[in-house]
Amino acid sequence: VNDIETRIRELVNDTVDAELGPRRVAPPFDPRRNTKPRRWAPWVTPLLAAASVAAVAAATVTVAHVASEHRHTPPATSVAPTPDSPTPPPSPASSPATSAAPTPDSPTPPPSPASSPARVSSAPPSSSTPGPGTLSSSTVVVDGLRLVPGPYGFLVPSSWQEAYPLTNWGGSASDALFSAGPVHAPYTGMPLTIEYWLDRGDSSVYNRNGQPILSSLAKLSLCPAVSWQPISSNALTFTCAPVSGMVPTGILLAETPQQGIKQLLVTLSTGQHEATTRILDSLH
Amino acid sequence: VIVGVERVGVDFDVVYKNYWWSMLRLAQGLVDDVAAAEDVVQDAFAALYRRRASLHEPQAAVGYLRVSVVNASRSALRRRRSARAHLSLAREEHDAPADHAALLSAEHQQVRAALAALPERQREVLTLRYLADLSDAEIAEATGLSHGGVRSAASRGIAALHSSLGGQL
Repeated sequence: VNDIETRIRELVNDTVDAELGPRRVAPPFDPRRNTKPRRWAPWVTPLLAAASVAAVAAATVTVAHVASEHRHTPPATSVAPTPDSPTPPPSPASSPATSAAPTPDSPTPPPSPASSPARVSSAPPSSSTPGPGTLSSSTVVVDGLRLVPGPYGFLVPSSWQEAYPLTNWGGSASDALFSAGPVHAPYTGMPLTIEYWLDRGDSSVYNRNGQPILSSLAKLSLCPAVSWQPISSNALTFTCAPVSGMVPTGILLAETPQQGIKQLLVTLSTGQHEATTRILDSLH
Repeated sequence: VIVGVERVGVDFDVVYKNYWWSMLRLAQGLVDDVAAAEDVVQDAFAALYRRRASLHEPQAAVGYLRVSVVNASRSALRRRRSARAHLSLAREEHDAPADHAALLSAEHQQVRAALAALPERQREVLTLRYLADLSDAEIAEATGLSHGGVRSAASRGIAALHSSLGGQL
């Protein structure tokens, strides 16, 4: 890898040097010269203003139209929320799990008993053969997601696909990605994804005695952590800035230097907090 | 190559003189357009000039410049993409002079194409690593990524370049 990196470094530097030509001295600096105004044609600002006025007018008409339709619509008997109405509060007879409507990206949960007080319901034991690795828990249905043991020792939604298996892209770390739908770069922290990361070559998070240093461990979060808290002497949880209204939440687990560091980053909707917790807890 | 920060003072003129070229190389690596790169660097130094009173350490000034160059390059690329969309230019090439490609060797063109094919984050990380010789921590600071994100992007980018530049490696 080092030889390849050295060669890539040379190629990139050579290319930029060829594009720029011989080294030049800095031109006289003019602090008053601002390059930004010339990027906008003079008609852009009036055009934006006109477009804003048109958008406000269109929104007003649309809202008035929708409000008018609502006045003529009989009350719905279903408690399932629609895109046009906020989620109704759960009725006393139903548990939060049963009142939560499935999201477009999650499968419809099997009906659970209406009197069940539990948000998390265990599904019947599966007769299928468990996958490889240590399975930390059995199949559960949480927040509209059916979670089943995945191939790497943690739970994953049964309807999700493995976007790519545990892969070493170079360096000491490998990662795998599960998603509810198609994914694209930058992958990490994308909505409705679970990223699993395994690094067996990073010794910087251990002290001389081989004990993990949690503050160093926190820096390995796949997305910039806005907060983190220890959950044991060798593990911590963290959250990152919201993406499309979803808060990427992760766990970092430092085992022995030989066993390496595991990381799981779960990005589900905010209404699926319990599912997020169950998935993170299942990592061992 | 960036000059050691110990040798420069906090004087703006000295920072400008010593770092203009290295920042231009970095910007060129990010935006692949000499005129746009010069604008990016001008904007970065103009921003530094406005904040020169609050930056007392040369190292902080250089770090501020790097962040400015990265952010201004992102804006330049975004504007370029928007302009293409509005003008219905479906071609992949940017508005480089017609002889731009002819001036570069086939090898350099291949490197450019390989870099252009990378996702923005990976391209930024590798450009900062190879053109500015930054550590992962410095790249994280310049891009706003976490250390893990930098390493992840770098490893994926290297793998992609290895694949696309296989014949040259």
